Amino acid sequence: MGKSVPVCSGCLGKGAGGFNVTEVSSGPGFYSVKQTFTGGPQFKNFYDGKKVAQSIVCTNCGHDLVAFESSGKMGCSECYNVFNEQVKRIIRNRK
Amino acid sequence: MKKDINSLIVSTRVRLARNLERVPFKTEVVDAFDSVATTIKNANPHYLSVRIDQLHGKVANALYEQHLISRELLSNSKNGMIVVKDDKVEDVTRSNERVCVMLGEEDHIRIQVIKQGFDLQSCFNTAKKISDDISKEHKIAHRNDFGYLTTCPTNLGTGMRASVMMFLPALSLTNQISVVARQLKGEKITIRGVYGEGSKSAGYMYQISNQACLELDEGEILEKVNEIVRLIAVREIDLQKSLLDESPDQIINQVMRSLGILTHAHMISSDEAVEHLAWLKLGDCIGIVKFKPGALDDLFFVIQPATLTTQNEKASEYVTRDKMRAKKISEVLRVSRMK
Repeated sequence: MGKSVPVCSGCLGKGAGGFNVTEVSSGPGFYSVKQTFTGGPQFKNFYDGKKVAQSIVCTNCGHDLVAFESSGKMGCSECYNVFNEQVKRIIRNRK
Repeated sequence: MKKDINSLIVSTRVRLARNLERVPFKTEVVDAFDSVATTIKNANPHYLSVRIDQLHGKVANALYEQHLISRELLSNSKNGMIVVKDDKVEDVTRSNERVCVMLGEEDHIRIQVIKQGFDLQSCFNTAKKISDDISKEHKIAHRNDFGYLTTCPTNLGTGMRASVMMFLPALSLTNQISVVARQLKGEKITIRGVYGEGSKSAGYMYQISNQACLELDEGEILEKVNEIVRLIAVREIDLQKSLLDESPDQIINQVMRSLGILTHAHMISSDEAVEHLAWLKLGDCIGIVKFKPGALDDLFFVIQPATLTTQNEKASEYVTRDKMRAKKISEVLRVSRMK
């Protein structure tokens, strides 16, 4: 599931700008962060899934993860490198 | 047995989906696909290309009616194109082997080859050749782990959809299509009605297709679809024999009534014509009547509204069209009847 990233409550309280979202959300750790921090009402203001997801963007076509998850479609062939883990999950579910 | 199976198979289709590397799937560049169209035409004589915004409405409707182009492509007036194998676009609906490459649909390139009868390998060979022609001059998006990269990740793999249109009246009349559909799910094969929704299809026409998967290559998919089609055909033939054994008078009566209507009607709608043609085709399958091979299958297509209109401008008005349809059917049946 990936490793969770420890973040102090002070940084959490600052909102998405409190730390570098890209560092938390990049790589296989992204979904583990979501699972670690959502659920508790004290974290909702900080962790906005949409803001974190938008940080993953295909630099070739501008397609972001929110657009992918809402449409189920890729923006270009390069998106498969950018959203590699999400695609692998879809393939596992297809079997 | 081979002859019996072939009488149930109307047509075969192979579609290959390909995308250009790094080009956005929904590109709005006006000449995005011009060079691909040129590549196909240079490599294949007697192919021509037409931009969607220059396609005559009636021709577009006929191509749509025969499942050669999609609504999605028709809505792409920016850079949508088709490349067809024929000297005139409207002639493609009348060819025995219909080739239509859609450019600018959900995927950049969708190569479609349709042949009358049962011939998956031949359709695949033609489609593959066009794909190879394009690959020689354009970089096609592909990864070893994901196969051909498509707009929808659910279509990853070979990018191939192999389909067979089958005539399954007995399975339909005995409400077994949904049973077959459930059994095919585990094989990643789907069955759906060609005309209409749900488990019953007007004209008892059904399309059997593979679903996308990464585990099988093209050859394995073709083999699996071949095998499934043969199994379904055997089941259908057995059921037809049972139906005839149980209710011979009712079946013969329905077939002959349909023959009477189709040979003598002054006007007939496409829905009614399809219903009676289906009975006639069942009669042909079980030997009550006999027609030249392919004659009835052809009729299912040429009597559709838009297809009739491309052959005669006057058919755009429904009364004229229904009269033309009735005349066309009775002429074909008179000429092609053998028993």
